[in-house]
Amino acid sequence: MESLPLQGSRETGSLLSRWFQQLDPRRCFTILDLAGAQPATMQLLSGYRCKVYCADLLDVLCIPDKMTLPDAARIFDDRLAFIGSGVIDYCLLWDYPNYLPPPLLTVFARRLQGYLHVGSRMHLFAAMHGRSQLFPWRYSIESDHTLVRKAVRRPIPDYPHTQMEVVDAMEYVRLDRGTLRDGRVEVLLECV
Amino acid sequence: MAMFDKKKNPQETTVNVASVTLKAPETQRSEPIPQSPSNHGGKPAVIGTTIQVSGDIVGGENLLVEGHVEGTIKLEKHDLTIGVTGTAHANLTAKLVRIEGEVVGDVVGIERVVIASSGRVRGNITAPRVLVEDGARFKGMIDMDFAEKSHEKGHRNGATIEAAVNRAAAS
Repeated sequence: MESLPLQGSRETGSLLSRWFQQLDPRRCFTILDLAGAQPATMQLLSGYRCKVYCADLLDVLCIPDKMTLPDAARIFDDRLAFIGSGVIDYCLLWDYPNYLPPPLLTVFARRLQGYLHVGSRMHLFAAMHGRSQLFPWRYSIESDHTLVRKAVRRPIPDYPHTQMEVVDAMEYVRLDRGTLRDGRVEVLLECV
Repeated sequence: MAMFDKKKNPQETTVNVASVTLKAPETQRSEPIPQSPSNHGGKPAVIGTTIQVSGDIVGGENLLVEGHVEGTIKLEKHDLTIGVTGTAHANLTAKLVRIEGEVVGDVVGIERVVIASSGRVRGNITAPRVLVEDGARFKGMIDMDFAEKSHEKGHRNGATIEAAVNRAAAS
């Protein structure tokens, strides 16, 4: 397999490696990556039998404050409609929930649910607490235990959510978690 | 049957075709025939920057698209490059597909698909290996479900790729 020069800082994601340990290489899985098609992630996933849906939602963060929730729901639907209903086994949310104010997080969680199934798993970074300072990163997976993160150049307003706030918004999940630096908590969620 | 359609701008040519077949001419020479450069990294056939093709393109050599193509391109044993200035609103099938320009449509790479840093793709990609360079833009689904990757190494189970090729041809 070719290797590309990978830029950005690296960190070990302790929970992410659990996913890869559990993957059956004989079985095809389906994954949704909200960071879009990132070089390192695609290089890694090329070693697996999988279908990867790439939906970069960062520009949805520019939803005007006065937009109604139904309008926001329509925008999420437009961006995710290319995914089949209930097909996603694994979802890489990264820190996307932290850029959605609480009402929008709830809307997003409900729209996303249609693409998941019981047993689907999600990976995300929640905030340690509501005052945590977050930095906008675009993540990719370099290996089963190493993440690469690159700074998003433009400033993005953030709304740090703790893992419990995320779980409350996603009423259909249960929680597993580990702590990382920089005020972030790595979270695995499983749809129930 | 091809129909050529000159636009007012003499620099720009539009070609409407039902089907175009790209094939190296056969020769009657007695001396050894040189290997087709298309199979060995030589210059590919080129659809130039001012050419617009509407229809189906089938080929027996490598192809570089720097113009605009609407329809389908099928080069199952050869390589296809959508160049930096190239745009394809088309379904593409080739042994290796490299996208440096813009593609809207489904892409099947028998061996590999590469989206270069300047590449922009909206559609579904089916290939055993997909390489995305930093800066590339993609929206859609990437299907890398090939059984031979994991437990049938060296013995290709072509069911997925065959199905994808058929889908691309049918649409």
